[in-house]
Amino acid sequence: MVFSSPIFLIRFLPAVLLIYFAAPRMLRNAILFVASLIFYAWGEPVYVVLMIFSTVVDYTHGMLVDASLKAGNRKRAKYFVMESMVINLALLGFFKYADFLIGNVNAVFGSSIPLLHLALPIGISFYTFQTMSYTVDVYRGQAKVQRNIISFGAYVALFPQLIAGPIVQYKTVAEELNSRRENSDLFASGVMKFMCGFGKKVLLANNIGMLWDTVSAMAPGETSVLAAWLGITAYCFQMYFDFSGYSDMAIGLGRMFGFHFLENFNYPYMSKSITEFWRRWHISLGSWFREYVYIPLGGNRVSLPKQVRNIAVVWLLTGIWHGANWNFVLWGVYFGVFLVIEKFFLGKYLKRLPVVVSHIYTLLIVWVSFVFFGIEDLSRAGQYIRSMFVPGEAGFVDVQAMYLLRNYAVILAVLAVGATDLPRRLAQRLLVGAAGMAEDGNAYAGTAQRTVAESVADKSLQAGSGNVADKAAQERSTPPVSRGRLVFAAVARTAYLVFVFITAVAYVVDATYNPFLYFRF
Amino acid sequence: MEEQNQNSENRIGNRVIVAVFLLLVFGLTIAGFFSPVRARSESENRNLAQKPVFSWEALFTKDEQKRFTVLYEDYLSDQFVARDAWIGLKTRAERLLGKTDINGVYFAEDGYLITKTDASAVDKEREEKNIARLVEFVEKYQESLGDGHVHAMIVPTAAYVLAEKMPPFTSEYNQGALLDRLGEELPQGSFIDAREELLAHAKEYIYYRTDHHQTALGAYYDYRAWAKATGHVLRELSDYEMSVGSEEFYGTLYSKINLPMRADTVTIYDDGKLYRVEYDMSGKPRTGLFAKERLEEKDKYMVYLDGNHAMVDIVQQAQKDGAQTDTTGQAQLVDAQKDAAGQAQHDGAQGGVAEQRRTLLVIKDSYAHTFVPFLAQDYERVIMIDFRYSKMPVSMIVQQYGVTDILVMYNATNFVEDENLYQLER
Repeated sequence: MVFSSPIFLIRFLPAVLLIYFAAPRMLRNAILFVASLIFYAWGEPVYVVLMIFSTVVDYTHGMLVDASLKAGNRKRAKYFVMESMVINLALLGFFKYADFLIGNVNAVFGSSIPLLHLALPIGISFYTFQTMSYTVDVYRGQAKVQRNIISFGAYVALFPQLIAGPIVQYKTVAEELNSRRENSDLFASGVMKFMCGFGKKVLLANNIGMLWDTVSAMAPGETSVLAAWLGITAYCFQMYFDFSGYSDMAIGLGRMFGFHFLENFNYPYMSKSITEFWRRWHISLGSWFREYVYIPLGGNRVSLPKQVRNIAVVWLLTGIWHGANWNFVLWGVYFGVFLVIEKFFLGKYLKRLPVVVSHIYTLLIVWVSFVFFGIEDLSRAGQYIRSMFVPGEAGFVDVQAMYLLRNYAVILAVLAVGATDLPRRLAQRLLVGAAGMAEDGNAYAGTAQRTVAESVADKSLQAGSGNVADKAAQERSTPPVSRGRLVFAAVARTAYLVFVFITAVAYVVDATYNPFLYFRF
Repeated sequence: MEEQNQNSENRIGNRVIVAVFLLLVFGLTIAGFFSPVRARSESENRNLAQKPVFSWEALFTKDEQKRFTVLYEDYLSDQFVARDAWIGLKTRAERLLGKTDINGVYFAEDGYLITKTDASAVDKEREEKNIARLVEFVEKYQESLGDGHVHAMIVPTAAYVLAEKMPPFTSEYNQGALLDRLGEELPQGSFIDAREELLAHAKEYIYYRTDHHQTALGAYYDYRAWAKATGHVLRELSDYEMSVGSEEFYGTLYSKINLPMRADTVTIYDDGKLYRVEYDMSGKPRTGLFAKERLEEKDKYMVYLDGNHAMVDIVQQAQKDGAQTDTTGQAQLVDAQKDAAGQAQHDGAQGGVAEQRRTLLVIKDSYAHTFVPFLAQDYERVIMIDFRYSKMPVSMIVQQYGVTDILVMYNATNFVEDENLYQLER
């Protein structure tokens, strides 16, 4: 089940909200667990077995690790951590990489081992990574062991981030699993966050995705330079708005049920280096690899060759995590190479360059990278990159490219602005800070302002909930906001909510194009 | 004090957000339970999915088309409350974004919707095959039926004729090049080019604004091109009795857009002759070329020869003494049919109205429906077949009905994209 579908919006979500909030607190994890299993089973009922298997195995191993630690036997604890890792990775390897491996073995040795043709269980890469984090966190003493298997199951299967992340590390939600306080302020901020993601996915990503589909379907020789750039730009925007949209929806849903997940994207296309890009893109994956692979390998506190090795390992794994195919491996290696170059050489120069230059440098590398993320056939990807830089038969500009530009110029402009933090800063000024202004009537400007309302939501969350009151008080060293402005902010947020909901539902109902992009993860 | 005040203000704001959100989600959900289940969408011109029956088997089946969850999602989407309004809203949003085509339809000037056939979307291989098939077909039948008895008329669509109304920078399939090529490759005199007539009258109402067809007026200009090329008597438009069938026609292109538009007018040009028309060999002949009852339906284009049929058999009746009208009973019609069939067998035995003794076979798409009424009176019998629905070999029809003339009539884009033209080879 995906969030941007009628089944989720007018069946699953209302049902779960109703049952969850009607139920006594002690039953709520059980409700989440069962609801999540149904959510998962909707797409492929059989693989629910896998999820339950994962839950039981990691729950047991968590207990074993904990027991060993309490008995003072670190060695045994470590053994159980390893065992859980092996089981999780075996699961992932079998379902995700077996056919890739067999295909390569066949290619190299000329053998003809039959492929398994297993359907990849959706989200398996996300939840196996989550469950692996659990036993490690327990072993490291960063999280208490979870004695309630239902609560643990709720963590493993938690439907908001189940199929497309973010990868929530156990320690992030450990306390909230056992005791959390849902409240209307947190719920409201969740609603705004969800709407932000919903709009990103349905209104922005799907829309621009059609441009990429058009261009990538063109014959390689007949793509003009302009068309090639339009196409890959569309794809980069689609990936960002789709992926971060899913993350926002997940984070928003999490808040509705009382969880605080960490942000997964932080305006990656504003980065001024590849290093910075990866600190802002799919943050939960980056931190997972840093914490559970890079640092255990010694991180950057080892000799130079070993540092390079560590980076190489992480980026090979990052690449292959995105899909069992050579183009994803290459994609990871490509980034690894640039990261090494930046770390040991280019980084200090990049800082001295004018912002525009380092910004263009970053986007260029990212844009090219997404060609072989989006096109699995490596020779096709090569041809595509060629058509970006070397005019072929169609020249620099052809009539097709002009037509596409004419049709997508508006949305490209909206996306370009939406990918920066400009709307957010604007909102802070308009809705909270300086003089109140009438809301912009332009419909799509509203969508671009997704971050506007989101940031307002964050602000009000800070102002509203007690546990961050200190921080909020600090921030409010600026002069107090007038009552009129607060009312205005509330009205603007509500209008934004209604606008995104209504428009996005219209796109969901007439869903001629509503792809799920993460079936390879 | 101030801060507390603000907190409570925010709290109220947040409660409003929560309330509005719940209202939207639950409102839509509950409205869905009360909205009537529709069997069919007239505006989308298709049957809508119904609630699937649950069974464990349907839940676990490997067949995606039959899986319960898939069917249930189709059902939810198709039966979504106020579905048409949502689709209209989406189209508006797309238009606001500056899109000039939506769902394969261009928004052209003067309120015209025009089918999009992008050059890149046309299968070159099939195009080549279809051209070769047509050329071979015409050559073959010219041999058996004689020169001047086999023609092909490939009619340009609005995208070509109304090119001035098209949005800028389109890369439409080049119909002009196709027609040029057909003129060269088809045997001398067998290709009928309606371009000149149509372009000369491009300012008139010759294509529907909301439908992908030509209007009857447009078809009349096709007819002029045809009459000139085949040497038939050229009748003026005033020789036909004009009547307005409907001014409320919203065609197929409208259905893909679902925005308020000016309706089209369906005009009938009647030659005043009496025809016995039998559809799909049903054995139940009807009278006249126009199915007036279709004007009550959504697709009013079906008024012309009752829309799509595998086979239409049109036999011209001898005009009875003035008083005779088409209220005559079925029995009489069947008698007349026997006469006609008999005559057809002994074709050409007598002189005089030799023209009247001929049988024309039209191999066609729906563009012929408005066209055939203009020339029907030039033949004793007209057989129309549509390869999409009829799989009867042409040779068999030619033999069985004593066909003397053949016309292949398609619109240009249909012609290059059609998947059934292999039947020309049979």
